[in-house]
Amino acid sequence: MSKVLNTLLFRLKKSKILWVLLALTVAMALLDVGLLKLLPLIAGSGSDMVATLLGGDAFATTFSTLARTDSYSAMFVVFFVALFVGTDFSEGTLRNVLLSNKSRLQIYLAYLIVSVGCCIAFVFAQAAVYVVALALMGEFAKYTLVQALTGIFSSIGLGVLSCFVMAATTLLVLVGTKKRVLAVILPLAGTMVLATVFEVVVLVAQVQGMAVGALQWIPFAQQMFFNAGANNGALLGKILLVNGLLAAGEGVLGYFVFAKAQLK
Amino acid sequence: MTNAIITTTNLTKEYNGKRVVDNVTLQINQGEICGLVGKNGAGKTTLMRLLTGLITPTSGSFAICPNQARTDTKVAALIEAPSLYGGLSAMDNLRAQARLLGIADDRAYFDKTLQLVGLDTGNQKAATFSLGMKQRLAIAVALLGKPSLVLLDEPTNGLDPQGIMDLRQLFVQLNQQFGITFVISSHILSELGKFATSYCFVNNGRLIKQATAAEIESNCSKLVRVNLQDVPTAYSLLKGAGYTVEGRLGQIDVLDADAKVADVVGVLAQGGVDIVNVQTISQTLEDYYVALLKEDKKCQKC
Repeated sequence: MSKVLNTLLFRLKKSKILWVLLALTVAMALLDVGLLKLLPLIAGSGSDMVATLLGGDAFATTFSTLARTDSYSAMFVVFFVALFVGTDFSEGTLRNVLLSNKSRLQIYLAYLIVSVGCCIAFVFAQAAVYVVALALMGEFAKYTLVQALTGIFSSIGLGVLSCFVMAATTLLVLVGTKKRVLAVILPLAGTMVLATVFEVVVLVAQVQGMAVGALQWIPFAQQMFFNAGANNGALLGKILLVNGLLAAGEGVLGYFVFAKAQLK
Repeated sequence: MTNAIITTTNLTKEYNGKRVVDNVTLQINQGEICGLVGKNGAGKTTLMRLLTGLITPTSGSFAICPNQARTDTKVAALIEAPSLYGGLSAMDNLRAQARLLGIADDRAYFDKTLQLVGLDTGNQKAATFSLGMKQRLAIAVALLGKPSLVLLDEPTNGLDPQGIMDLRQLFVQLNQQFGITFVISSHILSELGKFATSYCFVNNGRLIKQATAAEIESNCSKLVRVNLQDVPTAYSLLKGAGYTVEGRLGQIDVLDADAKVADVVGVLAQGGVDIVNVQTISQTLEDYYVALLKEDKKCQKC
């Protein structure tokens, strides 16, 4: 597996995809900060920038906007996995990898590691811009150090977990369809559709009087229950478990699909 | 002890109920240059994909190097289109492949490999190469790890005549110098005939014949062709002398395998027939293949 990883890292250094997407992540994060800073001038009133960007007033239990599955970090992760890892499928170079006596498990794990690595890179890039910008603007002043650090780390952690889910989904679609275009479209469209559907389900269920505790388990709709200022510990736990299981489940399923795939 | 490098036993692959590879049992030995011959859709590429593990058989089995550990055997392949990283240069494609194989990043060796296949493209990206250049680079990538076995599917696709000749010489050189076994599928039988040492003929997914080049050479029929004007007289004379003959305008073919030119000429000269030209003609590989297909078709009807 180390040789496959070595090759992937060599290609990564030569590839523009990662750097372009990282640059876009940084640019969009700066745009976020800029727009929020301008909000009081435009709308007459603003919001707590730290709360909006890193999520929540109560940093002890924070659900970050980074963890929303329609976050652009997660979107860029989809593009990266589909375009970079997908090259081996579209160019046929997967044949060379298979012929070098590497098992399909080793190859799949190498793809997974690179995908997970890029999740961390994108989320850190986005978070770094937020944190540095907010610190420079003195926005952390109203929070204690513990609150600020807890918020930052939980925000990054949830963001990375959310990106893992998208990366695993993209890899699953890629090994299943062997088509890069589908590996971009299906995860993004599927996530948006599922998020909308589940949010509607939650709204209807709430009207019907269903217990909130049970509804907090529904993926893609969990952020609806975030309550700024309240103790969201239980919700955070559910988010971690659901997203963790989703990422792990898709990761394992992806391997079995890849192991059986008939390749050209 | 067999020196087989590839063995297959009733290897079969079906797609939607159609047998694309049908109960193929063959053995290819180390050191051979084996020509895999068959028309379009005969199952050659599917057979190669099975042997490289890209697809799994429906039934049957195969083994690469059955008598030694698979990990000791390096296998390389070029199946259908060249497998290259379009965004990398020729050198970087080799460097990427080297990392995969655990080979040291030796630029001098990579340069030598590119020279072997006649490539000198500097930093040009592989995506901008012509088909012939991509083919050469793919072959260079395949040869990089000094494999024991190389499977090539139409390797001369897109190459000019000089390129085809250069590659042929390269394969022969590598085979003789390093003992690399080649399995090459090609439609250009005349080209294969110049360097293959054995053949597997495939038709409708079935292996219809496997033979060495020497066996085919000895089985290829020969005839004596006489160009002349008085065909009817010549026909009667040769028939009277006990030969099997076929006559057409301006020529007579003596079909007996042991017919000698001197004897045939003697019979005609005694009969006063003027001869324009006489020659011995051997059945070509193409003729042999076509005859095999006809025989196979007859067998299928039975």
